[in-house]
Amino acid sequence: MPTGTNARGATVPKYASTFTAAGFPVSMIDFRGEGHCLCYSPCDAATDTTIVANADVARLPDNLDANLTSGQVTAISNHLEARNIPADWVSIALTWRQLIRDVVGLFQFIQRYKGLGGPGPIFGGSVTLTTTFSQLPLAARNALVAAANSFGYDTSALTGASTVRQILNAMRVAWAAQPINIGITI
Amino acid sequence: MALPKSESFTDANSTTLETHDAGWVNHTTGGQQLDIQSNALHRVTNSIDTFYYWNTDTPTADQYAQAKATVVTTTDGYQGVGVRVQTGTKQHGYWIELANTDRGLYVDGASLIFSDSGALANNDVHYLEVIGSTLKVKINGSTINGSGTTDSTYATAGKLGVYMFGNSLANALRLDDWLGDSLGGGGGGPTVKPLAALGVG
Repeated sequence: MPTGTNARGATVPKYASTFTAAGFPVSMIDFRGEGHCLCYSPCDAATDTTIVANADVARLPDNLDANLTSGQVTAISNHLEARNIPADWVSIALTWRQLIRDVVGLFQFIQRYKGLGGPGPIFGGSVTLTTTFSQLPLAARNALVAAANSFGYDTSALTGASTVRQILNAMRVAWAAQPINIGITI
Repeated sequence: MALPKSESFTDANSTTLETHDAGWVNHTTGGQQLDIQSNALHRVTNSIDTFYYWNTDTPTADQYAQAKATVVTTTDGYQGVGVRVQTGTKQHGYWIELANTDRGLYVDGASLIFSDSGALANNDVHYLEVIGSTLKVKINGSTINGSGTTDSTYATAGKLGVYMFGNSLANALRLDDWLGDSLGGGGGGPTVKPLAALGVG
């Protein structure tokens, strides 16, 4: 779902207050600075229905170990790509759990990029997934390299001609589908 | 002094935290201060997020901090502790910010990565740990954010901290018995330690 701002000016899941007002906790792993997040809340059916009614929310299934259907591949790929999250790797061979871990792996990389002072949002101006590394501002290039190095990721296959899509996909893969915690372990 | 570091905030009223012990470093963008009132931590300025970190000791990357809420009012403010506080940039780190109306886990005081409508009460011990990329928040030993929250913002370990915010000085939100330490590898971290057993209070 998108991120928003709460009364104290903090970045939160856009509909966080719907969960908390109903008495449910809400956890977020965000695509830091890019306006989108993965959100989890152990809410009731009524709150779930309210949240899912929002057009900018993609609800993930309860059974994360099921493989995506071809229709789901199309739907979630379109949702991700529209938010500058590469999805050309999504297929029916994946379970939802695998998909989430990979997307969150990408989010973890961007969080580190921001933590190391990377300017952002990356996609706020003329940058798209087809922009090449050499076309990015120097501060962004430096922070991307620093973030990759801090994780110990191999960047030898990436060059100045590598696109942002290729870079983000490489960083996603480097996360190696490690489990993540967002109130529950995925 | 080696870790664990304990702090009972025992000093004359209105002594600022950095005067009380120069090991505490003000980490607030605007420089607003915390002071001691009735041998507990209290904020000097209204409506300003105020952050400090303990600079004398450097914990390992896996670490925790905890403190006890001694005054929680129905109208007044937030308090909490911090881990992996980044000394190079003001307010950067992981912080919990807890009130009697809601509770939250922040990155840099800017991104709220966990929140609920639970209430902090007088004498509640609040606790924050980070192990690897997983953060857990506990109140009186019970984890409130489920399996934890994954975040990878920081490449370096950072310091241990304390935080307060309030809307009214008159209500005098206070915090006491701060404790922070490294966490050993391989475990899930300690449950909340009895403060008295650590010579605090």
